[in-house]
Order: sequence, then C-alpha cells, then structure tokens
Amino acid sequence: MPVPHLELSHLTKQFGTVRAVHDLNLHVDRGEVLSILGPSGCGKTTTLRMIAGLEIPTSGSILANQRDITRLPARQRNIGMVFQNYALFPHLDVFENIAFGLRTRKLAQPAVEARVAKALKSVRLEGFGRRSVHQLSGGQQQRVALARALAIEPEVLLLDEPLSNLDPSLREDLRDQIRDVVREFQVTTVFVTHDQQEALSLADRIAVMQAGVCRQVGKPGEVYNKPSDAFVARFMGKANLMPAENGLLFVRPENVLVREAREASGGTSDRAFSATVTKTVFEGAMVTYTLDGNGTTLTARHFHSGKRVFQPGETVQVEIPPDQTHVIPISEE
Amino acid sequence: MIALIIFIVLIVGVLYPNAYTFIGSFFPDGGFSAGAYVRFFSTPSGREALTNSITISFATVILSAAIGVPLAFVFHRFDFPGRRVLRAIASAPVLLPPLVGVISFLFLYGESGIVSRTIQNTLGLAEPWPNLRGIWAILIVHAYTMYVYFFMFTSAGLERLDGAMEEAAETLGASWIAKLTRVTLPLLVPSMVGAALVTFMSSMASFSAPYIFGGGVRVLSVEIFNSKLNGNTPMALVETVLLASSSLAVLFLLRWYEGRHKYSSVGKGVAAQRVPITSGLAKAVAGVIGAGVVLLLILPHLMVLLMSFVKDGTWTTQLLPPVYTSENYLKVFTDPTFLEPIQNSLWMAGVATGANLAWGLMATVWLRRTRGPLRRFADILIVIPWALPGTVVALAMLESFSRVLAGTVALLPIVYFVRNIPLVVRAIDASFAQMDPAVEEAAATLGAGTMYTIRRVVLPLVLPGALAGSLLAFITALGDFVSSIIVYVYSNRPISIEILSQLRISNLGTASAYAVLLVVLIAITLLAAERVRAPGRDPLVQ
Repeated sequence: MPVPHLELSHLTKQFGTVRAVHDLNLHVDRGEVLSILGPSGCGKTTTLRMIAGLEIPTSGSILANQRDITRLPARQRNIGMVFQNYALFPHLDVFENIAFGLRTRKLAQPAVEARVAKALKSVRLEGFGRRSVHQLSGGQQQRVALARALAIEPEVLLLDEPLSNLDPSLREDLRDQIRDVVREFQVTTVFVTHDQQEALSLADRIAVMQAGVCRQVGKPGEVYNKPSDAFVARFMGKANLMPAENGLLFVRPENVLVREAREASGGTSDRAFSATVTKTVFEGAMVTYTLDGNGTTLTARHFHSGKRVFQPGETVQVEIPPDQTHVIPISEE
Repeated sequence: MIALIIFIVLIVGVLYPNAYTFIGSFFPDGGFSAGAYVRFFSTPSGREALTNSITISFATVILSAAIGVPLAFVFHRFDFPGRRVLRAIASAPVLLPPLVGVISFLFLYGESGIVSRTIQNTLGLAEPWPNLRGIWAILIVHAYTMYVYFFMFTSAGLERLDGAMEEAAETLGASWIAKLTRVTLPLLVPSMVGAALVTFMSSMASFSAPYIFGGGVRVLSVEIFNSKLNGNTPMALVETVLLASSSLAVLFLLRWYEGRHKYSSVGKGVAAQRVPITSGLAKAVAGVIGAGVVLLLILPHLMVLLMSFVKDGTWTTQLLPPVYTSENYLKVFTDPTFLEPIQNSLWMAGVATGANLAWGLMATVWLRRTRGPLRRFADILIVIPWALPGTVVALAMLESFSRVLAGTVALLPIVYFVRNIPLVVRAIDASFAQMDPAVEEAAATLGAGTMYTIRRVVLPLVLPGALAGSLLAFITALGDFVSSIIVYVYSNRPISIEILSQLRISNLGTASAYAVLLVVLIAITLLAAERVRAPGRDPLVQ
C-alpha cells in the first residue's frame, strides 16, 4: 500500500464555541484528486485553510510526505492555493502575478521566465503576460490564479470553490481545463466545493462533510450509488428513501422504472407494483414524476424520448430493480 | 518595537496634553479646587459664551441641513442643463480655508462690503445692507462653509439608496410624501446624522468666524484664546475643558442615535432614475436659479481674487476699490520677509503630513494585527484629536509642553501632526479595507514572508489611498488658523497668521494676495489627491 502524500489525522478546529471541523481523518495519495464536498458552513474551507497553513488546527496533525507540517507557516509549506475570489494582485500584471512565488524563492530571471511561460501555456494563456489582471474575464482570472499556484511546483494544490464565481456556461469548459492541467502536472490536489456535479466529474475520491464531520469518503460512484447515510444520499442528488426492515431503502429517481399499467399484466417481475402519478414536471429532455404507491411517495426521473408522458391521475406500473437499491442502516442520530 | 513608537506618540501627543489640561483645570492656584469653574459659571459672560457656542452650533446644523439636503435631492433627482458643472461648484466652499472664507464675507457683506454698499446705493437706504455682524454673520459664514457636509453626506446616501425601494413603495400605493417620509428619509438618517455630527463639531470648534466677524458675541473657542492672551491660564483651562466636554457630549449622543438607526440593504439594488426637466419655462427658471446659486457660491472666491489686486490703503468709502496693482504679488515673491510665511506653512504642513503618513501606515499595520485592550486603547486615543476642537488641542499642547517645546518653531508642526492623526489613520484604514484580505494569504501560500508581503503587496495597494488622505491632511494644515494663532512664534508664522497681521494694519490687498495663494496651493493639492486616487486603481472587480 502506497504511503499517503497528505494525511490529516484527528484534525479539529474550534472557533470560540463553534466546532468548525471535528476529528477529521483523511488521506490523499500522490497525484490523486480529492474533493471535499459539503453545504456551506460544513467546515470544508476551514479544512483547506488548515492544509494551506492559513489556519492553525486546535488539535490533530497534518502530514505531508510524512513530515509534520501542522504548525509550519504557510509560506514554508510549498502548497499552492487557488482562492475562491482568485486573490490576484491587482497592482501586478499577469506575468508578475505568476512570477510572485518564484521571486520569493529567489529564482534567477531566466528560470522565472521559463516557469511563467510554461504555466501560461498550460492554462492556455500564452501571450497574456503583460496584460493587467483587470482586463481579464472571470475565467481568465481563474486560470491565472491556477497558473500562479502551479508555477511554484507545489507539493499539493488546493482549490477553494474553483468554479463558483463563474457563469454556468463557462463552468463546464473550465472544469475540463482544470482536470487536464491537474493531470498534466500530476499534482496531488484537494479541492473544496458545494457542487456535487463538480465533485463527481473532477475528483478521484470524494469526502462528504456536514457540520464539521466527515460523513463518507469514497470514489464518486460509491458515494453516489452507495451513500453511507441519509444526508449523503440527499446531498449527492435526488434520492428516494423508504423505510425498510433494517434501515432505509435507497434508490435514485433514474432507477425507478415507470411503465404503462397495461404492459405490466404480462411477464413483468413480481417486484412491480402499481402507483398513481400525482405530479408531472416536464423538463425538456427529462420528465420527473411524483408517484404514490400504496401510501409511499416516490420520485422517478427519466429521458422521455419516444415515450408517452404520463399525466397526474394516471395509474402506472413501477419497478425498482434490486441491484440498483442500497440499504442505509439506521444510525442513532 | 513598532507598538512602542505608536504608543509613545499617542501618549505624549494625545493623552498627556489632554490629561494635563483636564487635571490642571482643577488646580488653578496649585491646590485642588473647583474655584475656576465656580468663577466661570458665576460670571454672566462665562455662561453666555457656553450658551452661545451651543446655540450657534445647533442653529448652524439646522441652517446647513436646510441648504444642503434639498440641494442634494435636486442634483440626485433632476436632470437639467449645467447639472455637472453646478454639482462641482456646489463644493466650492471647500477650497476656502476658514479664515479666507471669513474675510471674503467681510469684504462682500460687511459694513463696508461691496454687496452691502451696492444694495444701499441702489435702494437708497440710509444704512448699508445686509451689513453682517454678530451672530447672524457667524451663522451665515457657517452655513456657507458647512452646508457642504450635508450636501456631500446626503448625496452619498442617496447614491447608495436602492431605487427599487422607492419603486416598491410606489407599487404599494404610497404618495410621494409618504414615500419621502416613510422610506427615503428614514433610510437617509445615518447619512444625515453623520453630517450633523461633523457640522456641529466644526461649528463648536469654529474660531475664525466669531473671532473676526462676531462683533461682541462671546463663544468658547474665542474666549479660550482671550483668556490665554490676558494671562488668565486657569480660566483658559476651564473653558477648554468645557468646550471639549460639550463637543464630546454631542458626539456620543449622536453616535448612540446613529447606532440605533443603522440599515443595510438586503438586495443588490438599482439606481434611481433622474427626471429630466423638459418644459421651456421650467428650464428657464432652473437656469436662473442655477446661475444665482453659482454666483453666490463663487462670489467669495472672486472677491478675494479682486481684492488681491487692490493697492493697500486705497479702498476707503468708495463702492468699488479704486486703485489696482500687481505689487501685492510681486512683494510676496520678491521680499524675503513676505515670502517667509509661505515657506513656513509649506515646510510645517509638509513635515507634519510626512510624519502623519509614516506613523499612520505603521499604526494601521499594527492595529490590524492586534486584538484586545491595547488596541481599543489605541483606537480611542487616535480618535480624540478629531473629537476635540482645534483650540482645545492647541492650548492643551501649549500648556503641557510649556517647559520644553512652547516658544520654539517645533511645536506648531507637532500640533498639526497631532490634529491630523485621525484623518490620516482613517484614510489609510479605508484603503486597507478596500484591499482583498485574501491577497495577503495568497502571498503567504506563495512563500512570501511578512515584510516581503508588506513591501510587495500591501504597500503598493494601500499607498494611493493613504497618499490621497495625507494630501487632505496637508490641506488642513496649510490653511490652519485656530491652532496656529495659539501656538505660533514669529519665526514660524504661517500664511493665515500673516493674513491676519496684514488685515490688522489695513493692508487688505496684501492679505488677499496671501489668501489667493493659499487657495491656489489648496486647489493644486486637491487635484494631486484626485490624481493619486485615479481610476483604474480600484480593487479587482470580481
């Protein structure tokens, strides 16, 4: 088993009486992209700031390369960070912004120029060096911030809500760019987001946090399809949670199959049951039904292409394939 | 080490002189007694000075509000030809230092003023009119110079006001009067309280107007000076303490009121639409009124300019000064004795402001990194010189340094420095507040140490605002009269003192030439301040 590149153990941060992060244990392997996902105020940004050295943990430890950096000042950590609002230096041009971390390392001018050029190229901003940062679009500013963090060839790259300040139309494009750049540099990356789509598409692994506690860590597929508790189930997307003998039966709406009632009479499985459509929301490519089956409310969501859209009041046949379900054990909370 | 420098300055410059004055007022003859206070309140003149100061200040607030607030509304709500020019001219009184404003009013509306005589001649009156003097003269000068506070604060408040709120009130069926009284004015309360505060404090501190124009009207700021001049130091100390405490009382009262009426908008807001004035008649009326207002506003400036070309001693009973010359200016620039006051003002204001900038940057950097009682203590000491009238600060320093610095050229620039501490620190603080705190953290993650971050990131971002604030401080020091008259010695007499001496010997032309030069210096400095704060340097738009 490889030694983790970054390891957080029993990390706790207390602000006055507020416990922002509680007993957090996480590890990131070399070159891995970990996403810390959670609603605002869950402690994810505090965690990131502790890794960066901008916040000192109340207790617990942070190890990078097996070296304890818990109390090391930010400037000695060699950890690159992209801030949520980018925090570009408004008085410096693009080149000098990216060169800033190289100059603090007292690199010779030719080396600075080479490293800046490389960073600019990797974020596809060649020729932007002498632009003022005021002249850049939001997406370009974001890429400069990324280039600035990567230019120092950091041990670990941290991204704080990297896409939240951008237009939705730009997000997808930038998300792909970030993924490409991070893979290209093979840098160990931790990024924080509240957007599950972002986390699912960018991360190798996801840690879901709530109220300062880590609820689940796993690969995107695991966290989405096999949530460890009701919070994770709901936070990762729409979820049907139905009481079962040993906990909650979980199934995503896209896995709830809906058919014409009369089709069912033939050879359908005995797991099928009939339900009434109570609400139909037409969303273009997709349609979402709210269904009532013997007093249990269910949500189903599908592409409707080529199929009839059922209207409220209609009776339909519903089937939940057992391999798409997952039982969440009842926890004591 | 830095904290030590900061506190030495604050304790020696602010705490010690004021404590000395306060305690000293209870030791009139060496032993503890309230005797000086008893003497003050047992004389009618003492009580009169206190009541006058307070009455005049309240009246000034009301008058200034009556002019400044409607004017701000007019400029904000209506669009008319010449709006921009007029708006710029509305701040014209700012260019006149207090003393210059007062003498120009004297030349215009005093007993032998041009306007007074013109009205007398045209209407065939027996006496010149308005022949300003006494309380009305003080109030009118105050209203002219201080309405600008209400105008600026209200304009800024209206600018911040979310236009959608008024529109919302309209859709809910509010009439224009309901809209004004139930929505707009309540939202403007913080701005107006701010303006009232500054106006009241400036009026309590006002010295030039009552001193030169007040006739026999007693006010505390002038009484302090007179008591000191007559060698009655215990009485001067008592008057100083009373002036300071009544100013502070109103300050705390208004601050408390302000604290209860703070609103912050919940939404992003839209700008209100300006109503264009389209009808021909309305345009004509607006034009005439506008021209009249402009004339009233810049007449004082023109008057001083005209007087600066009048040959000394030639204007006696004529309507207009009869003889014009350029010798006043020639004299000032060629005769070393006449040039000296200008040099004095420049070096003293320059040194004081340089010290303000250096110390202010140091103090702000330190304050932003410090929490706890030491910081609160520093915060309070820093505000004190702002809350205290100039006469108070100057007299307190003169008395408390009577064994060391009093009588030397060094004391006046130190007084300028202390008086401008709050102004400069606030400007620097505002500059820091505009800076995105994340850039400091970004510098840290990129490997920059504290000093490197300050040098390469913080200073370049903060300096333009700090410099602009310091230039404003330079202007107040340059035009200062109140503290100068208490602390100056012959060899460092500043421009304002020289203007006064020239007036005393009826050299109206020479006095006015100095006044014009002062106004020009101030105008240049203001332009420079605008320049350093130039657009394109605002924090990164996100």
